Amino acid sequence: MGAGLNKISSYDITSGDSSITITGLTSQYEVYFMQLNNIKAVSNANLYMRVTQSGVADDSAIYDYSYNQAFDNSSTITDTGFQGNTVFYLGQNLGSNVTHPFNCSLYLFNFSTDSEYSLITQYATFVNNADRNVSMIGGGQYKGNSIDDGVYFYLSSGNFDAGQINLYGLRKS
Amino acid sequence: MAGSLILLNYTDTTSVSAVSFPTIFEDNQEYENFLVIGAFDSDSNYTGARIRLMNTSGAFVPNNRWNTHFLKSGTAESVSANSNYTNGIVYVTQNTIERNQGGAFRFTIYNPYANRETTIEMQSSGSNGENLVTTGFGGSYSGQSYAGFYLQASLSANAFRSKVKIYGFKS
Repeated sequence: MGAGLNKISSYDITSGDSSITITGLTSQYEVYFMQLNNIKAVSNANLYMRVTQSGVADDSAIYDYSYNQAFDNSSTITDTGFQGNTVFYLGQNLGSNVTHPFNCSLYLFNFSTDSEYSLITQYATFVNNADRNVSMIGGGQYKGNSIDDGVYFYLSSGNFDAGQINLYGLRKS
Repeated sequence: MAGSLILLNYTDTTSVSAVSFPTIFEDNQEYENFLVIGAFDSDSNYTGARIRLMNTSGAFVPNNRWNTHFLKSGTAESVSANSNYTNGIVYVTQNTIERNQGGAFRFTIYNPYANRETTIEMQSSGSNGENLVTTGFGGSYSGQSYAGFYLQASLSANAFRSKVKIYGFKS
């Protein structure tokens, strides 16, 4: 029995990228794992994600998700939920300072089957534009009866500046 | 196809008050991110687990930022949340994990080096009859870097036994 987590691809962000598409999700794996490392926006922005079919992002209003968000300088944890949105919401107010990273682990489930919704879980921890440590823990469902082959990232405004996205597959056996 | 999650360290200890990994990040700089998975139990009575992040001199780093959120199955709601730890102590679990019931935890540590701020997210689950769940996150600021960390009993008089695995993500 070999290793259980196999790296599939790595994408190095180039400053000025307006969006990033990561494809390569197939039925070879039932569960995929993705790490977003040190993502930085050129200016303060929110990070969104969509599901792709044949490499094309779907902007239909069929994304449901919820998350809780906490800050290092507050004991209040806020819960947020959306139904029928056009994106998954991964990060709020990404920092633009060179030392402010956005880091996130995503699990992607059921993407390669059209008989179940594609599902995600998200664990993000980052330093935001106000120089606060932030946590976003959440999950979502994409209510499309489609075979999905990847994900598409973009920002609420401006471009990406730096970072790396690694895609892994979890072996079935 | 090569494996992408590489086991860097495994410890199995009993009757100790702390388990130290002082240079685990410094010695493995080819990995950008780390996964720490472990379980522990109190040797006697009860305790919890906490970590302290260490700098390259082997001293703990006092001013990292943390928010740790405690949940209990008996109340099904959050019972407290703490922020902005400045004493370098981060509680991994609640203090009352009972002997022969145990606790388990998972950390992801991103970029514990000086070129960017480090961020960490954590979840744990344990028992003292009811289930005690802790979620946390945090990291560095002002360019602090971490060389390693140590895991210790939150009640030092009550030693614990633990098994800890540390993995590096191949980038």
